[in-house]
Amino acid sequence: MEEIFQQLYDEYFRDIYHYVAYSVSRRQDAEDLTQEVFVKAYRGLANFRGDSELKTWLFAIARNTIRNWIARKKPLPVTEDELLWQLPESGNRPEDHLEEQEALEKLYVVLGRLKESYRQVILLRGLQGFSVKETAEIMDCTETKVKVTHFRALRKLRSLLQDDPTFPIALTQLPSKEVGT
Amino acid sequence: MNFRQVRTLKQRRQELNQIEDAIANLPKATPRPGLKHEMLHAILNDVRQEQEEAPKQRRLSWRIPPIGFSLSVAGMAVAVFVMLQSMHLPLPTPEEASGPLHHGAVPLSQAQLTKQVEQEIKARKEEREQRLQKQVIPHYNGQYVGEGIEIRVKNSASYMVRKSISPGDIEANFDIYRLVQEIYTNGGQIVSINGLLVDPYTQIVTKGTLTEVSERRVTYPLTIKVIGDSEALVDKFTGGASVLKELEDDQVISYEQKNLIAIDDETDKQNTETDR
Repeated sequence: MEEIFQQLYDEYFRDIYHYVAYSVSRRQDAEDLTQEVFVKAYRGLANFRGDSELKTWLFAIARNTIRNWIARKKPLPVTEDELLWQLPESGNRPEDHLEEQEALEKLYVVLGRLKESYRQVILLRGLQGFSVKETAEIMDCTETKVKVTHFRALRKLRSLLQDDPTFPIALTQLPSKEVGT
Repeated sequence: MNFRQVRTLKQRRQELNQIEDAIANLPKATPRPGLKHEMLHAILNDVRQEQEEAPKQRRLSWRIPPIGFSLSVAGMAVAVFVMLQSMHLPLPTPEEASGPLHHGAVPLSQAQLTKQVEQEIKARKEEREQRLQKQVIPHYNGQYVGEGIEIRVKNSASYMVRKSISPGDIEANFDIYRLVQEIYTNGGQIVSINGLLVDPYTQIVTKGTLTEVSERRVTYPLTIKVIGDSEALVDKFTGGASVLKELEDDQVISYEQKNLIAIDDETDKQNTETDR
């Protein structure tokens, strides 16, 4: 059992940490939650029926753990100071680095402002690259709901980003009825 | 077809794709160096500790019921002891437990005490029935005959009736009423006042200066005939405080023990009268 768990841990530690770190804002919280996810996975490994993929099962545990943690702790919205720790340096020129860094920060801040279901679907679909079916399994809902929620989440994200002219992607003004959905 | 609208939609779809790309290009959140191994050790330690504690908890859960059971048994024993104490029943000695029951002996238990009392009551009943058969001999000519006493209430209506009573007032004659009740409680079987049968609850009242028994006027001097255990009655009346004794002391009544007293059965008379 321990060997199986270690294989699982080696394979998915980074993905889970990445997912958890983008779901919560602070490094310490991310580490604690990742540990909690793997402890739960170890306990439940003996009862794993194999109905879904192991990765999907692990992400479902992570998603439920995060959701419970948010419900329990009610964390404050992410501020710009708190997200700098997890964005690595990139780009060759200092100007490029600064611009990209700034754009990513903005995107990250706006992601933090989305409601929980929108953020989760964006992280799972966009960041982790899960298919609609896998996302539906992880979020324990229908595939249609995943599609609808993903579209609405993206639209909401665009409406939040369009006000910022410094964001590298130029976004057109939306009609008022589409804003705030 | 609105081509402008199509263009707008395409543009929006494009923008959303761009945002999706931007999200996909978000940098990976890299854990601090050494976190992976550190966390693995922590997780495995946690899990091993849980696995070690689980059998202990299981063992504890097996240990707890005997403790609870012994506590409940001890509680029951204390409750029984307190109950015995509250009943004031001394614990029987072996001699008492083996020996027969006697009057005045220390009872062994509540059940035995109850049995003894029941036996005494049964014996008394039997004795009373036998004596009653001796005392009361119903005759077919409409008379009760037996031993008893005869009480005479002298012509002292002034004593028995309240002095300031007006002719219209109706009052219970408690002296006679209590006397009759006392007779019945002390062993009287059949009582008659001036030939009228009375029971313990017969209405005895004074209307003005007149006395009525069962709404029939009786005149002084009254003759109260009692069939019953004459000796017991006399003992009771002379022994302690009683209504008869009190009235005797006031020289209102006198009594006489007789071997043969006959009391007419009124019901028989009435029946014979109606037959005629």
